[in-house]
Amino acid sequence: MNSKNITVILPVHNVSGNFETWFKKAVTSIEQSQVKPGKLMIVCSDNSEVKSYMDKWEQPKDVNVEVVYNNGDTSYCGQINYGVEVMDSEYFSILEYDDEYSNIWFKQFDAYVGHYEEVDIFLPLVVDTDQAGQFIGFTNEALWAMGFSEETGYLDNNTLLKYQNFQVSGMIMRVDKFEEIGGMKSSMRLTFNYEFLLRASYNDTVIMTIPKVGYKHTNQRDNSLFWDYKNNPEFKLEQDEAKFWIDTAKKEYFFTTDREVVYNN
Amino acid sequence: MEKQLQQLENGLGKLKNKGSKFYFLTQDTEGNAMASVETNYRYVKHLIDAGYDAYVLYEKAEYKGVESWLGKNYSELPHSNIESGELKVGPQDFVIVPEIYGNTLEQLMNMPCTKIVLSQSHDYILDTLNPGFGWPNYGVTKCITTTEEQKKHIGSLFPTVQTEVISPAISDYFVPSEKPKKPLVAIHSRDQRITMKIIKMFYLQNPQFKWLTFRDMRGMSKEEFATVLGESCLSVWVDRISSFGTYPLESMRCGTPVVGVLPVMRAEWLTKENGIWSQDESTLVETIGNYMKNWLEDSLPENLYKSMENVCDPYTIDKERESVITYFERLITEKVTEFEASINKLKPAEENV
Repeated sequence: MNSKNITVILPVHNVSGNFETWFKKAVTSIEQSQVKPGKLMIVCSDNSEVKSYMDKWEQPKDVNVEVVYNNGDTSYCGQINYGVEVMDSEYFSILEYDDEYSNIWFKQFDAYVGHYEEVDIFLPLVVDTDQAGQFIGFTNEALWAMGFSEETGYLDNNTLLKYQNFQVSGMIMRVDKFEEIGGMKSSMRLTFNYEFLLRASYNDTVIMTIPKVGYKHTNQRDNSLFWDYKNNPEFKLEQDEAKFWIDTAKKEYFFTTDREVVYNN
Repeated sequence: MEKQLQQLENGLGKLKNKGSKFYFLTQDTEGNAMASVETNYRYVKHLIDAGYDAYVLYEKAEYKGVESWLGKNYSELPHSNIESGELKVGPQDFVIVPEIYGNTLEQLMNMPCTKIVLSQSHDYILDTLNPGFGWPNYGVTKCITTTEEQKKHIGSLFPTVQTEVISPAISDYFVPSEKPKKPLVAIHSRDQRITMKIIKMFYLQNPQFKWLTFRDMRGMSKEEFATVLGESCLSVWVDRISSFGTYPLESMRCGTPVVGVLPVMRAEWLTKENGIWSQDESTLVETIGNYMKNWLEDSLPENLYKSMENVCDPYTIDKERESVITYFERLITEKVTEFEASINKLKPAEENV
């Protein structure tokens, strides 16, 4: 088992604004990886603007790229689910277009997977940065703090019920396990990450952080979904709503199907 | 004179037939692991395995022993207790005393055996000696030490003492973990206060690494000690008065790089390539932070690992056993010659014709 069995899903919803600048960086991070994944699958919304961009886009020569179009649910979760459905590899990983892999991430996967065959999800140590690339902090690292979780390095359901701050972008996950637990839920507007991990751990998915820097996450990028939630008056989330989504995640993770959730203020 | 002759002939017989006794005076660590004490036990085991009559000698009857950290293979070696009067020696016997027991030398002074100092820590040599007194004043003519630097130092203090270097072994159970290293920092210092100070300073200066775990390597069994060292991604060593540096070598044997403060007296194995060395403690915390950043990014220089690879090769159990047996057999040969000369002097003239 090695990185050749990984397909990286890069969801593209639209190509407006600074998309190109970020997207180029994201793809370059795969080009510069010391060990490359088997495939980069760009899952695009099936619309003319995105199609036109992708037709003109010059694919990197030494990365195996496949561009697919999704005309169904094109939310972040919908794109991931679609990508997993159409791929044929054993593992997949998620790369957001405004993020980057570290150049050692797939090499680390190769080094760990043989020793931890029981693990279904390898989380990277995520470096959170601001838009200018300044270091803010780590995510997923706390699992290695002595006494934080039930077993050092591993994420379990009880720990998740107490701490929500984990990141799935960059993770490398077994495709069959993803399908078994029902994929990602678009209905979990704010807490899709959290609900997914709760559901995974509840369904005996073994989750571990590889204690090596694997992923650079740009935090609160202008006009990103979470930036909108925090700063855009139109989408701004109140404290009550944030609490609602956390509580909902804690109720919904028992179900593998994505059920409709409505927030009524 | 006849009685004296008989005693000498008796002693000679014991010397020639592995009947001499070897007593290794040993510190009571009260259940805590200590490299110098482990060395004592290994010496006793080497001699016993070679058919000699060797004992771990301890002072107080309530000696705690080593079973909790060295296991039964060592705790069940023959022991002898001074307090209960079990120490009875003749001229054919040998008592080996660690330098820290300088005060005991006075009690041993009139015993007819050969007294040897086993000096593993140069800093303790003068602690228990009265001003103006040295080992030769107590009948010590021989010393075993662990590095050439220490041999030089001992030579400068006691020029008449014959000093031999026997390098301690790094035990075979120090091996790298089969799995990749964990973000775990093993830390070892002579003073626990220093350990705590380094850990606290590290977290204050590197809040982004608050999730890293430090393990104080005190108070664990040898097995646990070796396991933790094998799993750790870094080993921190602060022991300015160290003589040989068993701990950093054990770390390197586990494939765990060492960040340390340079000891006052450097052992031969220590080079600027095989560890990350600071002149003092003030820069240590910053060095640990930089190291961790590089470890997390997998960007440590490859030559650091390469330089560690062969450092431990000269320090195997087999080599130590061979050195110990060769040394003591040479002493026995010298002693046999001495005994034979004394016997010849005492025998009536016609028997010597």
